[in-house]
Amino acid sequence: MEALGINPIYLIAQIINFLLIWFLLSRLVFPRVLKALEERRALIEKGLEDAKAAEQLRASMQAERQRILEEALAERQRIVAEAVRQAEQQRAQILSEARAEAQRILEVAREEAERERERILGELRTQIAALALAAAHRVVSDALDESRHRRLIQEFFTAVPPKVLEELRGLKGDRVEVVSAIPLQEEEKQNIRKELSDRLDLTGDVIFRVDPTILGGLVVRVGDRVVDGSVRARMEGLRAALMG
Amino acid sequence: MGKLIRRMGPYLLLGLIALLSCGVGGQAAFWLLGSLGDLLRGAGATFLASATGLIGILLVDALVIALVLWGLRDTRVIRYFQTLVVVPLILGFVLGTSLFFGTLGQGLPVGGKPLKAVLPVILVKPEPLTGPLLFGAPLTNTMVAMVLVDLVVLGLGFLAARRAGPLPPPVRGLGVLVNLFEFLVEALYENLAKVVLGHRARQVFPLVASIFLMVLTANWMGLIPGFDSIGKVEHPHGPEAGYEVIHWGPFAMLTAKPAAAPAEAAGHGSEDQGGHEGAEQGKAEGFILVPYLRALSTDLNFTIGLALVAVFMVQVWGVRALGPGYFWKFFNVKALRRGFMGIIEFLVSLLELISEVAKVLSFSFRLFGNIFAGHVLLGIMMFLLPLLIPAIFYGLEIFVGLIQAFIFMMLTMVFIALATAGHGEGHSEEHHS
Repeated sequence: MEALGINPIYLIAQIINFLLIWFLLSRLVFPRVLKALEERRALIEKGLEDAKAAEQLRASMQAERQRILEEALAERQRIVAEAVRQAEQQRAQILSEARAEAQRILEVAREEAERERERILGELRTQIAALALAAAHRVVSDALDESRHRRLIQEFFTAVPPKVLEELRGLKGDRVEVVSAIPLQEEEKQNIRKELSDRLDLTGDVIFRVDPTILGGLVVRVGDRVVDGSVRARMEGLRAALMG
Repeated sequence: MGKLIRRMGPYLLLGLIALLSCGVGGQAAFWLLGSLGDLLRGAGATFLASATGLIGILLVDALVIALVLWGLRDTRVIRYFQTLVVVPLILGFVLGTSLFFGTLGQGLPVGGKPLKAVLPVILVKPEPLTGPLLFGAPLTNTMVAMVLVDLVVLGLGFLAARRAGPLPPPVRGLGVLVNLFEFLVEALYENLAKVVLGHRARQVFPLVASIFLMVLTANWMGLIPGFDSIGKVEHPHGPEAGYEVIHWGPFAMLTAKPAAAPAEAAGHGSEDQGGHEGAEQGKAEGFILVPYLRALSTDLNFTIGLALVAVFMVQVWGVRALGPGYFWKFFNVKALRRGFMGIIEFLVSLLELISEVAKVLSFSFRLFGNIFAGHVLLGIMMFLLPLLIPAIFYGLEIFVGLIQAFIFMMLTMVFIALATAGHGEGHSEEHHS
């Protein structure tokens, strides 16, 4: 042992020396260094994570931007479509209003024309009566006084023949139409209405129409039944009788 | 990382070559140095011629070392110096010293005595430098090395601990050392200790890391020029004849001229008597070099002490992990109940005990043997052929020093891992019953 230099004192000295070094290193050096290394790794990892988070944030921001852009685009399209639709609607409304206005004006014009026509026919009636009176004067020469004559004419135009009335008796009329050659005055209409309602079962109103082609007298139509008391029909009958 | 290695590789290689050559050249130069003590005693005369020669050698050595250090500090500088200055200087220096001071050369004749590398005295036992100091034990050159190793390890450790922080230290000045230390610790801890030891890594790590640092520093420090080559000249205690010395100012230099063999001079007495007389005579005649510094790992006290601590700590960790039941491994009396096979198992368990003792021996003698042999090899190579060949062995010794430190640490770690993992007894018992 001595030849190899192994000596208890040196051995113990070496062991104590190593224990001392070990103690100092394990107390004062390694914990600090290991801790520092750990901290450094944590720092690096945190940095990486931060970078990743920032990247994610950036990506999400971009997505958000894209989304907002798309939304704005969609909103724009929607607004444009809405505006177009409203304009269309407005146009249609204006159009229909204009159409209605035109219709109304037309209606008014037609009514006006009707009224004018009736007024003219009414004026015509007096002239017809005067003409008929003058002609009768010349034919019959004073055979008739004037008031009577006037009544005759009146009857010619407005009276419902009794035969006709007889025919109508008992008929049920929900729609009664009275056609005259000249426009009837209100009291005449009243009379006719009264007479008709005496004889038949009147449910609806009586409609008066003017048709100069029947020349005189009245044509009464009750439902699908027509009683022709017009001068034209009578003249037709006369003509048939003369020729036949 | 790869890019860094590619960029730094040539410089590192150059630095390594320079370091190796300096080591070799330095060793060669320092082999020649003698005792400082002679200055104090005022012995010897000054020979101006040899003095200027040696001053020249030392100056060139210092210049090379300074250039290498400077070049290593700043890689831009080394780029200009590598082809122009450093490489020719190193090569010329190595070749010159090798040829001139080796066995092939004649050496520097100083007063008729050739100045060149001599065969070192090979001693297993550390040489004492003083008389008995403490408990009758003298201060040996390995104890001096131990103090230096302690200073380096603790200095590096405390430096790293003081600079330790979440931010890495700058790669400049002492920061390089701190970085190196942190790199070592991280590599050992993350890549090795954690893998081998698992959750015990944190607690065991200081022990194995201390072992690694101590052994590595002890191994590498022994390679610094001046170790084994600067010391005091003494008359040989053994049968060696020794060499003549020349004195030069504060230094005494061992020359290659052998002194008159004392054993032969003493005539033909009995062997021990002759040896004794030779020593008596040798005192007057030859000198040998007793180095002030010798690699710590070439002291068996260091390796055995370290091995004892390591193996003891293996047992401590085993008991900590498994409780008193850990010792069933060594005295498997439970197995005795199982008849004949049980007896064999018991004997096997006793073998385990022997193997623990063997661990101490294998630990200590492996380290001692490798490093001691390396130093002997370097010395003999320097003597035989100091022409670039020692540089190869010098590099090999650097590698061996690292490997031995690594092996010592790794084995300690593995033994601790095995001891804490249990030894399969509990499992095999469960299987059997």
